[in-house]
Amino acid sequence: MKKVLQLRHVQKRFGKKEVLKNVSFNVAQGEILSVFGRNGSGKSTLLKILFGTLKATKIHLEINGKHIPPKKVIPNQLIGYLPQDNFLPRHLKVRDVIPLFHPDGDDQDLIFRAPFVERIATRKIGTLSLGELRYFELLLVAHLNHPFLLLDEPFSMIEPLYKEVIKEFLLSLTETSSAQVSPKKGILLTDHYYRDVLDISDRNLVLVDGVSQTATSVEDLKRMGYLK
Amino acid sequence: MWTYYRDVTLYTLAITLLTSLASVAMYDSFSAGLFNAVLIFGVFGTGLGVLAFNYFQKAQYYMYHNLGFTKTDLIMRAWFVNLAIAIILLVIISLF
Repeated sequence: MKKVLQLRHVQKRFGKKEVLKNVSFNVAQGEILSVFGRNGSGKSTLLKILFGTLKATKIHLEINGKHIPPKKVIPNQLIGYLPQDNFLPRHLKVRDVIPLFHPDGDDQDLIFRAPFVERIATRKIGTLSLGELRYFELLLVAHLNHPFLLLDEPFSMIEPLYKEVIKEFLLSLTETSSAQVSPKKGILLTDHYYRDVLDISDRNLVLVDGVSQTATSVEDLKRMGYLK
Repeated sequence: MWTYYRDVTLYTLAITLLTSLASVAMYDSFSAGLFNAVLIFGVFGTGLGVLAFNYFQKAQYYMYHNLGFTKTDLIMRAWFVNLAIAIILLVIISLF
């Protein structure tokens, strides 16, 4: 059965500053929802709140109508998260990190066979370029079994060749194969490379003054002050 | 998770070694100093090791979170293992 994540009336205040005033949306497995917003508009804050690593002032989170306390998101592995900061241990080799995330041999093969991975497999994480590292982190997190995935700037520092591979990969995560009952993932994505995001997103939100608004085109992004 | 435990415990051992060397003049026998070092390792050391991990490798928590481990889980597991090791060592030291 396809899962639907529903977020209602999120508010977040840092001292006197109210960063998020009223953010609400749904995202279903098989769907890519993008979130745009200017720097400091609360995009990363929103993702951290959803992942459960930052406490909201107010939040109501449901999956298929069932209330989910934010502190249950991590232990129940409901949502995967690619943060802005690189998070892999720098002293480990790429081929040694893969089994940490995927103990099962078939899952490891999926990563090893992904484009570009074989050529970096023997290198240490600390020696990878920012683009290679970002791509590798995305592969590791996206192949975990979470029904939902949060991506904070997945196209940042990525060279054009990798970008196209990433776009194809993200779209593949939202497709239903013959072996599956439902699509693998529902994806919430934020990035300033808006053309790359619009290429793959099904729906778009813009955070304006802490409130989420729907955008359907580049003209909407301009009207809402995200673009000139 | 082993990688987290190993990283935190390396910091813990370094802190234990430094505090033990700093306080070596306070003890009149080697076994009393060793007893003190193991006590520091088991009771306070892990907490200080976690603080060091938070300072130098904080972003790595996201790796563990994606694998289903909360920060509290990780810290409690590391502390529990080190406390158990310390208790065993303290018993052995007191026997000799």
